[in-house]
Amino acid sequence: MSTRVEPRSTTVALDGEIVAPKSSSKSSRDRSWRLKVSIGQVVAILAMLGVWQAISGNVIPVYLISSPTGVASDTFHLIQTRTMWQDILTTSQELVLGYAIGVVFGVLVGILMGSVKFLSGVFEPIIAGINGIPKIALAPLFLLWFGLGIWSKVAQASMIVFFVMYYNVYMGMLSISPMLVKLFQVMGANRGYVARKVVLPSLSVPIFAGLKACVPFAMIGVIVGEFIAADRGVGYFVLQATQQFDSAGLFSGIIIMVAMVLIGMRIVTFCQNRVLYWQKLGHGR
Amino acid sequence: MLEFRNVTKRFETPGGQEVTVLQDVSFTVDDDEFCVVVGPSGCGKSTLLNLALGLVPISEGEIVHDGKRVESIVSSDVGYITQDANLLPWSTVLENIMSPLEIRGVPKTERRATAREWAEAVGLGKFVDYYPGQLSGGMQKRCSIARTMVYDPAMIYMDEPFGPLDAITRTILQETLLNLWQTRRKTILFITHDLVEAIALGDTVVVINGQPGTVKARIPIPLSRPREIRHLAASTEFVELHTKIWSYLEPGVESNAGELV
Repeated sequence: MSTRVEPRSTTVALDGEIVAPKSSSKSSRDRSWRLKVSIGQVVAILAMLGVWQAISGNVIPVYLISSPTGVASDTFHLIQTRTMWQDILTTSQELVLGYAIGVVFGVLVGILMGSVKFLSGVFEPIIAGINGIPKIALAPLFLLWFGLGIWSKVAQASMIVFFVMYYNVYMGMLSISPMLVKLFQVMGANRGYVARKVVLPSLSVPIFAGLKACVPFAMIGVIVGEFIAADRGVGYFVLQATQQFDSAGLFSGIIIMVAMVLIGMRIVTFCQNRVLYWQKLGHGR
Repeated sequence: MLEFRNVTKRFETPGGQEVTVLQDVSFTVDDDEFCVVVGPSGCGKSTLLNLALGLVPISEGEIVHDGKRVESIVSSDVGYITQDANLLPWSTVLENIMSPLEIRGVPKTERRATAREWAEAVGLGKFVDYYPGQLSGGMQKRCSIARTMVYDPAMIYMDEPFGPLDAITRTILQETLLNLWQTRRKTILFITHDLVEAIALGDTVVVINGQPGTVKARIPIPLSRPREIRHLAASTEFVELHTKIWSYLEPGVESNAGELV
């Protein structure tokens, strides 16, 4: 097929305009808006902490809600201890492994079910049924199967992550534009090309949506596992603190969990910005 | 040459009822002819294109393209330009235009150069590194035209390509298309519901009307080329053709009143 053709340049007036580059006045307005929002956030948080500090010991006993200053000094103290870092390390391992296993299987099964109609016909209702199980109810079973170590927590986390990821990818497969696929087939593309250049990039949006949603879900799985039975981990630490009426320790543990989730989210967002760069440029059409 | 021979298409509705969309459609598109199919929405004209491309199966009759019966997706030497530009949003204008060449295994430097030429030809020379989301609807359409022209298919199917655009942009793009077609002759089957567009572009206008859609007339357009689309509507020849084609589009018009089909 000849591909080298010589188009004669035609004079054409360009229609429409491209999305205008941000003007300086707009970006300065943006900046002052963002500053206002930031100040508002700081004020709101300080107000909440103030109320907490005020009622602690006066309205509600300290052993029930601790106090911001108590939690702060406790957290500061805790992160300087070796045992806390061992707990963080254990929980991180469980979190990363559970997340990774759940994501890989969720994506693979989602793609498979989205591309083979017979499989989705057979397994869709079955998967929906299994998803109906409150996954946390399986924690004792996982303990039996995988023991007291990290693997029962990994199983718990990956079980939750799998379903979130699977549904995101499966729905993503169903929403790929059939017109776009047909167009590429008419253009001469084979299945491999369509898969690489059309299907996978289309899936990147639901995959990243799932990746983001799954970070806190994985943490839920891990912490539940540690609550059921463990001898280390942040969840185990929180449980211990609760049993000793150490509310400052409990809140410190929660703060550490939140920090871990936020770090995980940051990593996903960082990757998302590199892969989905095209999404931020203007709007669809 | 593309021949529709007594093509009938029936669909089954979700309720299990059979609906005939096209009934006994026969006409021929000659090589290098610009053939426009015009008809109201719902007459099955887009279905006609999908049948010719092998995207949906024919119920009765046959479509023969260059001596070969259309049975599955036609992918050799044909282009397809749809109502939506259908560009890859994650690829730049240049990458989008290059993709058919990539599919054909053209070496990278060559496909880059060819794609760049076509970006220039459709007026996107300065925008090769932009992403579709940054372009207006008209510019996206230009890009999709370049993506089709770049691999030089002998036949191009166009399904209301300028439908979603504003009137000014549409006229400019119609002129661009005619200019490109004048320099690189191709067989074009163009679907539209816009009578003015049909007359302005076509060598021949095939009128489809009714439910199920049937061919009401095949009308040659003797207007000389090159045509200046923006001034066309004022000419008496144009007005006569317009009136004539309209007469086949009135609701309830019985089949081909003496016109050659």
